[in-house]
Amino acid sequence: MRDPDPLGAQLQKGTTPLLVLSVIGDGELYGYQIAQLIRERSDGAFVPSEGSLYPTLHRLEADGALVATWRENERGPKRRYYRLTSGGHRLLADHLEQWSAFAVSVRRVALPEASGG
Amino acid sequence: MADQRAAYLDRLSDRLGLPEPWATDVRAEVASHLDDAIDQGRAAGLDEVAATREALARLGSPDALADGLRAAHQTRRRLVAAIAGGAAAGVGGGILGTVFGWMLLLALGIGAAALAAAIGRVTGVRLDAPDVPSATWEALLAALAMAVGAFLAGRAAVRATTARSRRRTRSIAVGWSVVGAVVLAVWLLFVFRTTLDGLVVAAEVLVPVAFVLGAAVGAERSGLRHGRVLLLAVAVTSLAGLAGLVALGGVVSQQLESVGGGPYASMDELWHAQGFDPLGRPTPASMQGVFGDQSLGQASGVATMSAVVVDPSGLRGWTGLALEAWRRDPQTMAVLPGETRPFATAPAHLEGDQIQASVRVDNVRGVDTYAAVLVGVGPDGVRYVLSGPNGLQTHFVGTIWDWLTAAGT
Repeated sequence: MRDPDPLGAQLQKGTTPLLVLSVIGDGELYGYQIAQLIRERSDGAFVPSEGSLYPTLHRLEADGALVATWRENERGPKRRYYRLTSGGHRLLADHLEQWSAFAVSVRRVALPEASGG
Repeated sequence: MADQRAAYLDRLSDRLGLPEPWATDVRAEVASHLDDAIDQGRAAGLDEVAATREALARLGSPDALADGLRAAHQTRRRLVAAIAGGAAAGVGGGILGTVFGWMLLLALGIGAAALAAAIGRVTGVRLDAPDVPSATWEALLAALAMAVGAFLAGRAAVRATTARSRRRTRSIAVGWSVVGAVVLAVWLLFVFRTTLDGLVVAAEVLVPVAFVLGAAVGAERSGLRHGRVLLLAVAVTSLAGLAGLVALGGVVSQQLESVGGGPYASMDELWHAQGFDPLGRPTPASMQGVFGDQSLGQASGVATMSAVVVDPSGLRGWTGLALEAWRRDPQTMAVLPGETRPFATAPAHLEGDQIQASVRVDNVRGVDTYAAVLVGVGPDGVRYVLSGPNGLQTHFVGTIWDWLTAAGT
């Protein structure tokens, strides 16, 4: 049986680090908040698999793009907050630049009229 | 439901394969996420069962999540850095451990000497000194100290590698055990040269074994259990060393007293009363005055004899001039019973006014003391001793491979 949305799934998988880094930005968020923000900012278009969100967060942390800190929570259990490092900011800028170039190229190929080509 | 949530987290933990504290951290983070998701579902009007089911469904399979998280933690870069860090920690632990081992053995030796002295004072029973050369003692103690060092090296390597690689300690311990044991075994077998006999070889075998034991201890999770096993291992290693000392019949201080000073007093007595006949006939009267100053020395396992030939005509008609090394009784100087050939021999050469010869004496097993003689066959066809016998000490020096493949007993 074929995946009903293979392109969307692949795009989302490939852009999860970019989405995560973008959402965290200059703030400090925990995993559940990050998933919620991605969903809200995309008006529900991106519903990241929460199962892939945590491996992405931990890999970015292993690569030095994020640092995590456990914080006590007044109303519930301790939560692990993530924030970008200076390397994370550089990685975010690189990802944004690559994504912009990619999107423009795809648009030129797939929608030549709309892109004026 | 709490049962579903707990079952999910248990499955995740089982599958995760991370050491502590990361395994606990990951579980806590996912648990926190589930709690948030369940709270949100209930806030949206779902009952607890439906909210839990929804939250678990959004996280997906615990196996897939665990696999993804493990892959995120156990990167190749971390593994390479961990192996390098583990190797450095192992080397450092080995050096410090060897120093610690020396100190431990020294303390045990002093304690044993004090105990022996006290026993002797109280009971009047004297512990005899072991019949082991000092060089062998030093090699034995060095091997036992290295075993202590290897134990701590294995422990340090596993702990450092586990902490950096975030892989399970058991797999790290197995890997380091294999690598460490092979490296140490090859080094001891083919590279490390020292004084060897059966006892020292057995002690050296303990070195890779101790490394594997240390790696196994390094894999223990519980600090308390870890400490107990460490103490037990150090105690066992120490007792093994002490047992070796006791089995040899004495303590270090007593052995050191016995080293040096040959017990023999007279060459004639040795020759006639203690059986030097295998060496040849005593020097004939016709050779009196042929040789002047004579010397016999040993350095780096080579015995060299030289003699000034005062009257070269005295050697006319002599053949088969050679320097020979014979096993001898360390106490009586006599050639060992049953010895019919020297264990080492080399022809003597006449150079200028000197006759000299050199023979290697440290590559035959089981030789601690020997008699060196300059022999020759006289014009009458009889074999004579022209110089000596002179008693010297030697020890097998080489690698374990040299020892295994050497002649001797």
